[in-house]
Amino acid sequence: MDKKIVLLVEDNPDDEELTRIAFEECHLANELVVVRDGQEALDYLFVTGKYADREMNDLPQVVLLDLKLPKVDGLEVLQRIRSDERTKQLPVVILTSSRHEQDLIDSYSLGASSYIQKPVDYLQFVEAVRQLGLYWLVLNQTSPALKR
Amino acid sequence: MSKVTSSFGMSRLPSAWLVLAGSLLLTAIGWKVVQDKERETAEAQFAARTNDVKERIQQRMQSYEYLLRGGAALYSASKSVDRNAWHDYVSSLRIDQYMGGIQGIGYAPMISDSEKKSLIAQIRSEGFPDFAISPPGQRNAYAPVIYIEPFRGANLRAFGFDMYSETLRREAMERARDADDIALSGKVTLVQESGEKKQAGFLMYFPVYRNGMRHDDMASRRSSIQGFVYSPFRMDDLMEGIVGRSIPDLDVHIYDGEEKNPSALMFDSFIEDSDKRNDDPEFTSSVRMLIGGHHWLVTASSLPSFEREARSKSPAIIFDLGLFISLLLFFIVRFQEYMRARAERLAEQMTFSFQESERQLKAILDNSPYIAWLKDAHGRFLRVNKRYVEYSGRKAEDIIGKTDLDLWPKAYADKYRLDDAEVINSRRPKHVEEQTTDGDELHWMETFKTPVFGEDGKVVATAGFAQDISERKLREERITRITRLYELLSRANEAIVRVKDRDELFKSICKIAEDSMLFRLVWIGMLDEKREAVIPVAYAGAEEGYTKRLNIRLNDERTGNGPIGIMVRTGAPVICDDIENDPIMEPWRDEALKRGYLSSSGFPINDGEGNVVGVLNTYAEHKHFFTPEMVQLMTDMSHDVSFALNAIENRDQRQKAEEEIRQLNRDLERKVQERTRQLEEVNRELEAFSYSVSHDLRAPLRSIDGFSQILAKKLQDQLDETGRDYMERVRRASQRMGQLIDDLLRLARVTRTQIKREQIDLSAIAMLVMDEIRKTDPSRQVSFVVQPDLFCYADPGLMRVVLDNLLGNAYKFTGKKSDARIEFGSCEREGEQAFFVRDNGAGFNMDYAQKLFGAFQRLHGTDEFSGTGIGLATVQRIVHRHQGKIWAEAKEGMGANFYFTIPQRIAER
Repeated sequence: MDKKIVLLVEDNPDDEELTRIAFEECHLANELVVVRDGQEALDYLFVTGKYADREMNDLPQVVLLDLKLPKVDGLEVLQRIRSDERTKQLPVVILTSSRHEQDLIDSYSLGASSYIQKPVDYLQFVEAVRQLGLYWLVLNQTSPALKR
Repeated sequence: MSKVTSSFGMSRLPSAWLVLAGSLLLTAIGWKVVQDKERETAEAQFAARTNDVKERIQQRMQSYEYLLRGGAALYSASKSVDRNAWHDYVSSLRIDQYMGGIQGIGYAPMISDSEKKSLIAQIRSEGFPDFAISPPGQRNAYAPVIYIEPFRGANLRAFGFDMYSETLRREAMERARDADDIALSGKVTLVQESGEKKQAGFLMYFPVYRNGMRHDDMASRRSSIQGFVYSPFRMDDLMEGIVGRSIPDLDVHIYDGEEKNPSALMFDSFIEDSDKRNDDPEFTSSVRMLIGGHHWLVTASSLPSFEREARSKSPAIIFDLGLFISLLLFFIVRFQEYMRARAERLAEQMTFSFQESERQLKAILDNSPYIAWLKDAHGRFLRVNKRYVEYSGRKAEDIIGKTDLDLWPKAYADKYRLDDAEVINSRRPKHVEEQTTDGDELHWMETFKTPVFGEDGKVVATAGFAQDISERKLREERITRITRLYELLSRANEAIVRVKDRDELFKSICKIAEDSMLFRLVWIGMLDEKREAVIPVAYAGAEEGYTKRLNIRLNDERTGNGPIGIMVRTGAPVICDDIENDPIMEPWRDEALKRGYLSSSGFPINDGEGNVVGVLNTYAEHKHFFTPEMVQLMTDMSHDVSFALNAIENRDQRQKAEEEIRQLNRDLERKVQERTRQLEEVNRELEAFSYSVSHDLRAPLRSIDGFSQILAKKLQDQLDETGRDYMERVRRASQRMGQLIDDLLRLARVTRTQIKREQIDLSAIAMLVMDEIRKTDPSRQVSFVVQPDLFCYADPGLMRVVLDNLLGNAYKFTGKKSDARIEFGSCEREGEQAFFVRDNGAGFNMDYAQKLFGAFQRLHGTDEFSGTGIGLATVQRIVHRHQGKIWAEAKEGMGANFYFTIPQRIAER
């Protein structure tokens, strides 16, 4: 329980900052690892590229994944996560500005654990992050199959 | 005929009548002989029948005699015969069963007066206490009946009767006693008789002598007589037993004694019903017979039935047949006589009238409408009539004895002789229609030739009749021509109906006309567009390049004034009866004659307005070929062709128009496809746009909102009232923009998404929407009325958007009312079901109703009622996409009514 990492895949620094502040406001003490694009996210998760030295077993507690990402987009990242034996049971929450129906359908059919649209209203955003953190970091029990 | 009758009646009469008389005499003799023979046969037959009756009586009496002898033998064999023994004996004979006529068999003892008392006492002792001898009185001797079997009925009356007391019986008894033989009494009435049907009767006796006593002479017999066995007989019953109830055909009488004495009549066989008694019988006979020493006379006479039977058919047949043959002979002879007489008379008449008949025959032949002749078997003329003389232009004397070869050109004469030979060989008549010559002109002749047979059956001559049928032939030809014309017309019409192409039609018409009418050439030409030249477009027949050389220029003085030029100008048919001599044919004459065209006719072809647009031309190989009816019918045909041409051109124009429409449609289709493609492109762009809007435009807003908030919080103490207000404005603006983005995206989505219709419950959706709206401000009191069970066929998601907006608006605009009321229901508008959302809120000015459904159009300030102005635009688009209508009715401050219709079951496009 000492090392509950949250992986935030977010290319927008504003959103990254707002998310951090929201985490703080909600008193979530978990380490927030931020990657800026899909490729980086994959590198992190599968211990490749600049994260090659990382311990593979250190999987995050939850991945907050934006859909619109440079290089490799969010849906592909999700698909890669779900198709790998090591990560397929990893909780992945889609956190995006999109309300596009097709994105919802695609996300869930690829195995998203949850889908949250980032509210424009900051207060609502903070509330969303708070609930998200409470649920995925406190209440939710991850699969014992996940090695960490 | 009177003469014929008289000769038939008189002059030949004797021989026929002699034949008749002779044959009738023969018949009569034959008949007599046969009849006599028949009579003899009948007499013999009759005698045999009479004798047969006698024989039967005798036979039967013989039988009875044996019965009595048997009874007597019983006495001879026994000391005494008691009553029972007698009964047994008689019973065993069963006389009643087998011997009709015998009444019984009895015994009477012969006793003296002294013995009388003891006898009576004895009988009385046997069980007959009343026994007495009758008739009463004292006599010297008695013969009372003591036994009589069968002992019953009428026979009981004979019991005790003293037969010796009665003369006829005593006489017979004495005769039997003296002769020791059977004896019959004369005619008596039996004591048994009573009742009405009394019959003649008689008795038969046989003597019984005392046992052991001699009775070989009369004296011993008289002394030793003991009694008599006897039988009483009723005559009719007896005879019935012998010959039956009556004797057919015969009347038989039996008399007692030898005389035909009516008082002695014992039997008469005649029964009234069976036949008629013959007053004068044809056959009679009588026979005497001796039975038991007593005479009977049997007489017989024939009854009518016997006589009928005896009269055999043969004499009658002989008579009838003879008579028939006689008459037949008579008539044959008479007929021969008649025929001979007639033949003689005819010969006589012929001799007289030969010249007369010759004159008559000549008159007949000469007045006949036929040319007539008679030729011998070698073809030499025997006779010709006046018409022949006229036709041949020779005298009769010059013809008789000549042959056809002497009279006619060889070709014709050979033909005639060939026909004659055929008639002679086939022995059958011949009928020909042929073209012949009278020496000057050709004639159509109809000729009948027939064989004339000689007496031996050989053809000895030929007779001929001929008639000039040239006129009839002409008529027939004309009829044929008219028939062909009508055929032409009907085939042309058939082609008009069948052929849809102009040039094909013209070709067909030319071919049909040439075919039907045997024209040399038929061609059709059309005027060019400038109406200056006539261009041949179709032909049939012996053209040989003729139409190419026509070169008709209507404005040219030479070629423009020929038949075709005239036709184009006048619009009427032009006939040229003689191409050789008609000046209007001058430019084309040589070419026409070269090809055998001697006459022509032309018929104009018109367009719909009556203008001549073409010509139909025909050429014949005879002058004056075109008769008026031909011209008339050809004109009709050219009218039909004109009509067909118009129809074809109309059709072509229509097809052209249709083709243009099809081209336009194709263009339109192409344009639509292009537009669709463009639209799809736009749609894709819009999709990309809305995607980026939803993602990219939101992010900065969130940044603005988020950081302004964080800033406000951080600078909480440094900011004054104005500063906080500004921060608040930044925040509101960013939220409002977020709302705008959401609404715009929704509007775009409504436009893009496919409509999926299903039956939905609008009332239920309205309730759901209203519940959700109320939750946003639970403190507000709004009365909401929903008409239940409003269904429609629409996309459920989109209808949800519609009600979200309309009910949301109503909720929003009633915000300032204390007694807010919102209604959802349906009503009928212009024959259609319309749904409505009604509120009693702010309403609006109807002047701006037009602007209501435009995007970003707002009728109220944002400060008054919040909103983006996109909601109603979205609602309208959804309704329109369901082919429905939407409109609003309102009054400022008095609330608003929003109506929309959703047409049901629109065919899916």
